[in-house]
Amino acid sequence: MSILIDKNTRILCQGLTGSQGSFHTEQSLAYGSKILAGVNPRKGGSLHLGLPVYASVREACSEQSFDATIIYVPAAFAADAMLEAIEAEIGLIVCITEGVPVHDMLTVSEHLASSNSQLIGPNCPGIITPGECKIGIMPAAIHRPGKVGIVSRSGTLTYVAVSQTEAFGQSTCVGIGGDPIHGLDFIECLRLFEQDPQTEIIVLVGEIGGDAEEQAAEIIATEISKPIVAYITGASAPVGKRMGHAGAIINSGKDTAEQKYVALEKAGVDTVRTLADIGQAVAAGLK
Amino acid sequence: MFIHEYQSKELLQQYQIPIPRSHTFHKGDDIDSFVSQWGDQEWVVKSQIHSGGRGKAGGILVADQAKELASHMRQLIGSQLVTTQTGPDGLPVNVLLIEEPAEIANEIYLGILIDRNKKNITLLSSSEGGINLEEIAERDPSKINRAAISKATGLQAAHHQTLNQGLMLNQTQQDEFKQIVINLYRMFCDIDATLVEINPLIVTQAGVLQALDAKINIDDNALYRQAKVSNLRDDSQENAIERKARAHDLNYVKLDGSIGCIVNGAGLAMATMDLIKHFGGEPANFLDVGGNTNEARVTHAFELLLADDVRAIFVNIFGGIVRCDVIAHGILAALKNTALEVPVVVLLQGTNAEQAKVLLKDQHPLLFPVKDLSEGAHLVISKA
Repeated sequence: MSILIDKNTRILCQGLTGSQGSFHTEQSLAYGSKILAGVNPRKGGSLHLGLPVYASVREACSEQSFDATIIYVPAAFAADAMLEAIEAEIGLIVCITEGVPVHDMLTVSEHLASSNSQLIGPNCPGIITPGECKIGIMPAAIHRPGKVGIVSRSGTLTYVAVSQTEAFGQSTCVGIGGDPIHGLDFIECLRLFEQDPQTEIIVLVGEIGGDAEEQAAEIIATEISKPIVAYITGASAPVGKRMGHAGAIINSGKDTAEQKYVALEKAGVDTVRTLADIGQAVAAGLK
Repeated sequence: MFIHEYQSKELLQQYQIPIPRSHTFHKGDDIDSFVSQWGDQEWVVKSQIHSGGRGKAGGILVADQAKELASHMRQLIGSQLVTTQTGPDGLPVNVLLIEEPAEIANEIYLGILIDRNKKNITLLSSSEGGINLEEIAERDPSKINRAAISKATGLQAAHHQTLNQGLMLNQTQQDEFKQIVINLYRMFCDIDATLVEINPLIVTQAGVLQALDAKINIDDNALYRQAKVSNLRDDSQENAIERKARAHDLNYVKLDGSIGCIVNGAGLAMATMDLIKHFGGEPANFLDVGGNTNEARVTHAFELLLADDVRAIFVNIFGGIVRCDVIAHGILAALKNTALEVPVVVLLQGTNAEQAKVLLKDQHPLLFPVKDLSEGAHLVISKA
């Protein structure tokens, strides 16, 4: 078992023909992901990497069925791509694109709320169930199938968490993305990991800005029985400066790393104050 | 992106939101001719910098006659204004907003922001204008009216009712207020704003509404489609190195410490700063060379940090899509182009890390490869 994706997940790729889309699709295909087709409004009817290219998501869905779609299109067109996928009722939408305007994400969120689709991202590395399916840009080689579920707002920190938990392997790793408005959040992922028999421990990697970690803390005490190890990045970040990610900014003085640590500790989460300690804490939590 | 008060007010004016009568004065303009033309009345002289707390720092002065106006202008224009938010160097005052003093009968707060948790646009109003929203919330949260707007359906009659509560406006003023809210919301969406605050929105003694101060933040991700607004960027309000970093597509934020950091990925870059701080060092910067970086970016990153007089550099790369051997070539290129005098601690993990280690071995006496994060942090602190 795993969460959200497995070896049977049938995948569409929006932006397949671009350089990012081509490079990462080749990697994902080599990993065994079932990417079946791509979309490009100007290249419908052609073949790319041996896959059929359709002019629209709707056309692709009328020819084949898909459980998930991955989006690599440029930021200016990413919202349209997400809306197209929602309209075509694809269950899982993974948007890798960085730099999507936040007003566009408001529109996407409204459509998402009245649909049955789930969104991961944007501005994220994607999702991987090791040994079965990779939908994203993460380096495949560091992952091993196993019992640690990882959910993170940062791409590279997910990879660090993966490499530190190599001995135990991972059930599924989800990068939820660094933008202020995004799809799946900690809460949804924690609930999914709680239900997943393969996952024995959860690593949560948060960062400054917003209150997604505090909101997660509110449900952890009552809903999550599995051990959680949490690390929050940005303890040394100054107030009011955007630290790379659009969402990583301390706005009010209330969305600091310390505030998030306090909330999570109150909920009984095992927190680590440096990145270097994630692996040890997971080992201790599994004992 | 932040813009100045005078630029915010110009935008408000374009959206028919009333502002006080004013003039802008740029560094290099002639003070004497300005004063001889306009000096026969009382003015408020406001320094235009990207920081709050200007009044308390002496950046806003009232002049009630021509002589005083000239001396205030001379004092402020071209100065470095230090506020509680600017850091010790302050920010340069290159523009003054010279504004007619307001006769205030009543102060209101009006703001629009994007609520990242509820995923909507929220309008806020309060009868307690003139102090910041956090203070109002602390004193009496019931004094804050909130209206959540759906992007699809926009402003509705009920939203206006909510925002009007407790503001004690007469019928004419209510109509003015409603029009201001409509225009402000339209502006917010038009310019891809993430925050707009009119604080205070005043009722003058003559009984009309006027925006006395305005703050506007714009979504950096949307600047590609906001050519007009992008032009409002004022490079002088940015640190010179931050400016250079932006030109090279590097995410850089200047900090106060002495240890330079070069990292791939925003999260790992913050985590590296945190680690240095945790073990007692002081990071000099946040620098993310990007999840998809190349040799040239690494070289630029080195040049930036060396120009900033750091005492040691910590390179922390987790190679995923980025290959460590590419990073190593970038380091070697930087060493060739610059005279390295500070120690560089290098942690390369992930894709092609072994090749990278071979490439860097014995290339420079000030290069120190390490095996893990803790070792790297300790070593760089001891060398700084």
